[in-house]
Amino acid sequence: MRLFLFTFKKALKPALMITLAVTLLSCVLLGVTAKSEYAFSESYTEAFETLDKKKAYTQISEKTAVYEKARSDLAERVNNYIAKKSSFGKPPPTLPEGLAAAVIRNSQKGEGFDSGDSEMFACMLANLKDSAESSELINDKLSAFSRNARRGVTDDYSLAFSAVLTEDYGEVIKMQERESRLYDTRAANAFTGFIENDRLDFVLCFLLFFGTFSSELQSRRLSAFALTKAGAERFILSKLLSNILISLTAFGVYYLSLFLLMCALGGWECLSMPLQYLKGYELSSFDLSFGGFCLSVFLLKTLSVLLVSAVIMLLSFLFRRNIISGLVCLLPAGLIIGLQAYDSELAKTICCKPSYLLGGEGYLNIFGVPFPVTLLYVLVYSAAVLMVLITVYARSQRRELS
Amino acid sequence: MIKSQLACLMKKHTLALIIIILMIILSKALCLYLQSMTQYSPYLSEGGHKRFLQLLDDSQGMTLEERTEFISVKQMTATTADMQEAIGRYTSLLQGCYWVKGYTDYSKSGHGIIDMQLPYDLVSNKEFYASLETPTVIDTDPYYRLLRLLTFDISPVWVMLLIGVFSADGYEKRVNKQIDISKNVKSYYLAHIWVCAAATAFIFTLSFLGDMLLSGAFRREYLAASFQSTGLSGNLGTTVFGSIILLFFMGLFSALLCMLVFELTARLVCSVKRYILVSVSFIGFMTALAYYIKPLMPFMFTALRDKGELLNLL
Repeated sequence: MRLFLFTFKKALKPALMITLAVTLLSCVLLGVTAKSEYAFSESYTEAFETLDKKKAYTQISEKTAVYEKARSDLAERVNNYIAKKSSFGKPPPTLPEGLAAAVIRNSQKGEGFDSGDSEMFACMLANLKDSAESSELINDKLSAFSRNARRGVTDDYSLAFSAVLTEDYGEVIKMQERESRLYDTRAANAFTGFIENDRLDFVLCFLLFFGTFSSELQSRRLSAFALTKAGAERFILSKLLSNILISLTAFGVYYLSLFLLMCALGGWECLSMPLQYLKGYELSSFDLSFGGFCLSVFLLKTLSVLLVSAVIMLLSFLFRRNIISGLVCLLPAGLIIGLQAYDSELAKTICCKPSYLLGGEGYLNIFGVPFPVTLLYVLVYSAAVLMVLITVYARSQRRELS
Repeated sequence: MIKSQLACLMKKHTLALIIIILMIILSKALCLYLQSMTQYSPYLSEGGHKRFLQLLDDSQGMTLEERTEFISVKQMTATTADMQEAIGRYTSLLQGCYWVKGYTDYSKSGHGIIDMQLPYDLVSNKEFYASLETPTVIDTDPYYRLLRLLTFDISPVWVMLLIGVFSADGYEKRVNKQIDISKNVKSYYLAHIWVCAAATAFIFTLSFLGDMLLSGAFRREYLAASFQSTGLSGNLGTTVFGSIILLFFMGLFSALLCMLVFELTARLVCSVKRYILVSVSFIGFMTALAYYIKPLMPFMFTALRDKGELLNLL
């Protein structure tokens, strides 16, 4: 215990410094991401507060339709003119002065041109679209299941899958029906969008752990510890445990800061909003509130951060020089960051993409049984973390260290 | 002194140099593999591309009006699918040229617009648009391939390794203290920096030339066409060759700046572990800033940047 506290205290201060620096950068970047949504702050809030919950989407659709109509009328005039004047084998015709002036007015940004309100209402419509369409999309899905049943689908998996999903969606619809408020989803959407493609948490893992054991090997501290009463084995165990604790603390600080920033931007009330109101989560089968979703994402991401940290620690044990260890440890962090750009299901699972794990139907066909993807992820990742940590500990038993 | 430093780099750190070259080759191979997974050309099949090049040869030196007549004659006689595909691509590129010509004419004389889509700063930036040359139809594939290869430019990572092996490792062993008590302090550090800069510049130039060769950017006579012929939306009043040179010098200066900053870091921290910590933080932080705050991208010299986006921002 004394050894554990010693290693933990020694590593805590630099780790917290690194974590705070990465967290600060992340918060700035989340602020920048959210800024584009908050460009029309006051007028947006004023317009949003006047909306009626049930008719909000229709009201905004009507307003945006006015701007859209003006634009499509202009496009029609331009197209008609071009169709009338153009001839095969000749250069395209130029627009007459009046039409060109209208096109310029429409396309330019800044004072004196048609912009501002149309962009604000388009932004509001995009935000309201998800919450307005969610229940409709879920009902479409449920009616497709019952249509399949009527057609006489007898496949065991399809029947079991539709039964499970119908039950889940039933809960989701009940939760949505209980809701009577209209939520401003801008901050929540910015937060989920940022967390979806966040790469800095893996950079944080690298920065914290790339030299864990290689520096001990290079400075021959492990050999020195091997001569003490405790031995190298107990030193490695306590270092491993303290690093796991540091990894949990660092990611906790990182995630909590982002979460608090989101709450400061969007208010605490958005935490009770159904998950399905968010962009990309309309068809989620989880009857979670946004607060519950944030907690689930934290737990899932913690597992992936733990795995990456454990792999980096294992690699740092394989090299006796920091420079080589640093280069090699860049690989797992770089690989997982690179995989985020790929659209395959496996890549999304490895990178812990919340929209895949919590935003879809959430079941996989495993031996004819619909198995929850999230549960599978937790089981596989927990097993992998344990295996890697045991491998690291097993290396401490080597004769040359003790 | 320079000679001894150079000999030290070449003989003592041969393995590090080989690893760096292998890293660069591996990144390019990965890029080529990913490209082959998608398609031969971003827009055309292999047969279509051959036909397209033939069309370009036949229409060399023509004005836009002459090209319109030329392609309409070809369109009437086209029979094979490859030819139709090539004509389709040629026509769309020609349309793009007319579009650019439209708004440059508008900036010069107040009329000439042919489409609803326009740059959003056409009125406020009128003088610049008036100075643009009329684009022409070129084979844009080598340019896009070059940009894709340059996206896999990992210069900050290999500069980090180079300085790590050549400088940081020595500083950790307190070589600097030995130098400080000798009489050659100034000449040692000067020679050291010169050798590092020469090695960085040489490897970067080699890697850039490799990219040019792989993309086929030397093959066609498209270098003298205006930048707008590539179909990218960047506000660059230069030729295609000018933009390639610009990319080269931006990359080279970034690599050299990177080298200087990493060298300074290595000297200040005197520990390989801390050096890696600081340099990877630099790369990570600047890449994140370049990715999320686009206007800052040209200034983020240690970032792994998308060169196509970079050109659009200039």
